[in-house]
Amino acid sequence: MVDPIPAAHPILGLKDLRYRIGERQLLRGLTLDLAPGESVAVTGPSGSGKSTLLSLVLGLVTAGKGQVSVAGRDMSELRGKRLARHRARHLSMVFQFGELLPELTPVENVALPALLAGESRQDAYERAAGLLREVGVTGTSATTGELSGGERQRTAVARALMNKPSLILADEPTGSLDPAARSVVADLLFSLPERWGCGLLVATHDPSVAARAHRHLSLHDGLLHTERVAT
Amino acid sequence: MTRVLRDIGFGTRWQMLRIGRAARQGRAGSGTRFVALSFATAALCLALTSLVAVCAGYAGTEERTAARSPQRVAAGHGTTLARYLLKQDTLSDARGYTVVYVEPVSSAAAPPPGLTSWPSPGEAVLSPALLQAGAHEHISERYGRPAGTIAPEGLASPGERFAYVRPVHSMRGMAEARPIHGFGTVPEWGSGDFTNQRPIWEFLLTVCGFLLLPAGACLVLAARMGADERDRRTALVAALGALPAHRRLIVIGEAILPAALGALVGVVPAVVGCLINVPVPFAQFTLYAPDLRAHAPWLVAAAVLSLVLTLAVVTVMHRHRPAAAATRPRAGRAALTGFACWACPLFLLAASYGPGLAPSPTLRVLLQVLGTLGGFATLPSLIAAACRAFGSALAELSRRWAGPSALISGRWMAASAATTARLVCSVVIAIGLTGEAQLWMSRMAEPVRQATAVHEAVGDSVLTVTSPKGLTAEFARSLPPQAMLVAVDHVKGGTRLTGRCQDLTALHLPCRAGTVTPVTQADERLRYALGNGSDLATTVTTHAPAGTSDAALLLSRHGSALDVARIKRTANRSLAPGSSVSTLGVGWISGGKVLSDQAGWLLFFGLLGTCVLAVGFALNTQAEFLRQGRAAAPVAVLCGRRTVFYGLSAWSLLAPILAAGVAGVFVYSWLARPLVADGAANTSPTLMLAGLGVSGVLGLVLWGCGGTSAARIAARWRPTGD
Repeated sequence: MVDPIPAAHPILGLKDLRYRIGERQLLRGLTLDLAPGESVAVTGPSGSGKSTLLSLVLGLVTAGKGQVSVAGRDMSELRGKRLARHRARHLSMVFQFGELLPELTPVENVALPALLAGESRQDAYERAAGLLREVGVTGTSATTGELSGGERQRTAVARALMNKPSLILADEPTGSLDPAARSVVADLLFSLPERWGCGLLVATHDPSVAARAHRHLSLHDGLLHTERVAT
Repeated sequence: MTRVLRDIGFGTRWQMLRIGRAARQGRAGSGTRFVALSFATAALCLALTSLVAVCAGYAGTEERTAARSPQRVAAGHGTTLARYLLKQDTLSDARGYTVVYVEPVSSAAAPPPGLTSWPSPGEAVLSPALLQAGAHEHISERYGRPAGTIAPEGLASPGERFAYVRPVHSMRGMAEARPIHGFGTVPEWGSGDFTNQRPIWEFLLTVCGFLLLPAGACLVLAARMGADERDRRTALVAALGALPAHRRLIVIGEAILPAALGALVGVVPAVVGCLINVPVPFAQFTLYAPDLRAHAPWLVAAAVLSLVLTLAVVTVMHRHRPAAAATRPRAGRAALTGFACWACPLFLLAASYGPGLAPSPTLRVLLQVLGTLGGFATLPSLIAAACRAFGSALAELSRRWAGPSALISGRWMAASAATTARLVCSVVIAIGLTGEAQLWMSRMAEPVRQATAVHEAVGDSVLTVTSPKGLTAEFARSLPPQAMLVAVDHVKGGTRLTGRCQDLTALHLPCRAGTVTPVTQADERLRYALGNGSDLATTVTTHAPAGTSDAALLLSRHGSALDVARIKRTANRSLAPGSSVSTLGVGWISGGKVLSDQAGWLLFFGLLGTCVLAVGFALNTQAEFLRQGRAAAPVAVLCGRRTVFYGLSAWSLLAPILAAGVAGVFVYSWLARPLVADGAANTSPTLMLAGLGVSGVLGLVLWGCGGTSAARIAARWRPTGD
C-alpha cells in the first residue's frame, strides 16, 4: 500500500476513493496525498482506471465513495460554476495528443486559458510568449497543426502553466512521441514542480517516464501500489 | 448485390443492420447527421409529393373545367336546352374572373356542375372565393340577387373566382349568346382559371429546379456528414473481411431510422392536403383535397421512393475508397480561385449593366443569362477567399478588441473556409436565383406599363361602358350625380361624342355640334381614353345619351373617383347581359396580374427551395462546427467556460448566415437595378423580407442548437488517454 509523504497542506488528497462502472469495481479505495512541489507517476495496464482517476480529480465524475480534495476543497461538495471556478483556478492538464486547437498559433493556444478567464489580451499574449520561450517553442508563426509532436506537447505544457495551477495532471503526455521528443517533454514536465511549486500527477504506461517522478505508483486491481520512491 | 445478400443469410443481415444502428447511437455528433438525414428525406418527400400534387391539381382543374364547358348546338345537331354567354369582369384588385350568363330554355336542361338548381331570373350564384375577395365591393349583389354559392365540384379549384348569372331579361335574340344542349365537353378556353394555366411541364420543371434539386443537394451533404469516421469504420470492417453487402447493410442500418422519420414528416403536408383544401401562399391557388385524395397511392409511392432514394444515396456515397485516392494532388485549385475572384464581379457587372449597353435584344438576354450563371458559378470561390481573409482578419483583430470566441472562430473560418463558403453561397444563390426568376416574371410588357401609367394618372375617374344592345335610359338615370355620360361612336375620320351641354362644357368641349381639332384642347382624361390622334365630333343632347350607342365614357365631374362597384351593379341591372364597365387599361393590367400571380408560384417554390438549401447547408456547417467544437472541449472544461461555445456558434454559424441573407438580397437588388430603372420589372419586398427573415431565424436557431450541442459535448468530455 502507499505510504504518502507527510505534508501539512497537500495539494491533492484522495481518501478511500472508490468507483464502480456497472458491476465492475474499478477503484477499491485509493488513498494518496500529493504535496506542492511533488510529482507522482501512476502506471498500470489499460483499463486499470488511470484516466478515471484523473476524471475524478478534475471533478468530471463523482466517486461512489471516498473523498477527493484539491487545494483543500472537497471536490464532491462543489457543483456547477463553483466547481468550474475551482478547477480553473487550481488545475490544469496535459493530454496525450496535446488537445490543442490546430488552427490557432502556439501563442494563441497558450494564451487561450487566460483569455477565457478574462485576463487582458496584452498580458495574456505576453505571458504566453514568455512561457513558450521557457519550454523552447520559439520563432514560429505556423499554426499548431504544423508543429512537430514534441513541439505540440511542449506547447501543451506551456498552456497548462498559463493559469498558474496548483496541480498539473498529465494523461499519457509522452504516449504519442518518439524517444527523443519523449525525453525532452518528460524532462520539462517533471521539472515543473520544482520550478513552479505545483503538484504533478502523471498517468503513463511508460516506466522510463514514471521513473522521473518523486513517487511511482502502480494501479492494479483497483488499488495503488508503491513501485519506487525517488531518492 | 441480391445474390450476395442471399448468401449472407437473414441472421447476418439483421446483425449488420444492428451494428449500423449502434454505430449511429454511439458516435458523437451523430445527432446532427440524424437531423440532416431526416430533413433531407423530408425535403425529398416534399418535392416528390409536390410533383404528384401538381399532376393532381392539373388533372382536377382540367376535369372540372371540361365538366362545366358548354356543349354547343351545332347546325342540325342537338336541341337547344339553354343559352350561354361567357364574359370577364374584374374586382378592384384588377384580377379578372369569369362570369357566365346562362338561362335554361327547356325544363330538361340540367344546371351547370356545382349548382343544385337553376337560379331564377335576376339571380346570381358566385364562387366562395369571389364572394370573399369582393365582399368590400358588395360583389354578392353585383349581378343580381344572391342565390347561394357554387359548390367545389363546379370550380376549377376552390380558390377560383367564378360566377353564374341568370339575367332578368331573356338572352333570346342576343347574337353573342350561344345555344347549348348541356355541359361537359373538352375544356373551354376562357372559362375560369384553366385559361391562365401554364403548361404542366413548366410547373414540373419549377418543382424539380427549386425543390427537388435542393433536396438532392441536402441529401448528398447529409450522406457525407461525418464521413471520415464512417470511412475509418468501413476500412476496419473491410479489413475484418466484410463483403460490400455487409458494409452496405451497416450503412443502411445507420440511416434507416432517420430516413423513415424524414419520409413520414415529409408526407405530412400531402396528408393535410388530402384532408383539407390548402391555399398555396403567393400563388392565388387553393389545392382541392379530393384531387389529391384521388392520387393517394402516388403520394404513398412518393414517400416510399424518398426513403429508398435516401438509402440508395447513403449507400452509394459511402464507398470503400483506397486511402491513396485521398492523397492525390489536386492541381489547378489555386488558379481557379484566383480566376473566380476577379471573374465573379465582372460576371455580375455584365448581368446588371451589360443588357443596358447591348445593341440587340438577343445580346441583351445573352448577357443577362451568361452574367447571372457565370456570377453564381464563380461566387463560391470568391466567397471562400473572402471567408479565408475575413477569418484571418477576425483572428488578428481579436487580439486587440474581441474575445477568445472571435479568435477561435476566425482561425476556424480561415482554416475551413470552404464549409462557411458553401453555407453562404447556398443562401446567396438561392435568394439570388429566386429573385432573378421573380424579376423575369414581373417584367411588364409595354402596353401593361402604359395601362398602369394611365390608371395611375386618371384612377377611377373615367370608366368605359359597353353594352351589346346599347345604353339604356334607365342606366343613364341611375348614375350618380357627379357622373357625366358621354356616348362614343367611331365614325369615319374620327370619333363622335354625344352628351349633354353641361357635360360637354365641363370636358372643355363646345356645346354645339362641331369638331374639335386637336383633341388636346379637351379634358386630358379624354386623351387617355380616346387617344389624341383623331378629331372629335361633338353632338349635343338634352338628356343623357341612351339607346343610340353601344359604348360610352363615364367621367366624374371634378376628377374624383367614381363608385365603380355601384356603377357595375347598376349596369348589370339595367343593361343587357354581357355589358361591361371598366376602368381605363384594366384589361392590360389584369393580364399583368395573371403573370404576377404565376410569378407567385416561382416565389413560393423559390422560397421553399431556399429554406431547404439553407437548412441543409446550415446543418452541414453545424456538423463541421461540432467537429471543431470537440477539439475545444478540453480547454473549455478545464477553464470552466463552457459558455464560450455560444460565442463560437455566433461567429461560426449565426454571423455567416446573417451575412449570407444580406448578401443574397444585395445580389438580387443589384441584378434587378437595370430592369427596375427601366420600369420593366419590380423587385419584391416580400422576397427581400422573406430572405432576410429566413436567414435570421435560421441563424438564430442554429446559433442556439450549435452552442447548446457543443456545450453538451464538452460536458460529456472525459480524459481518454488510457
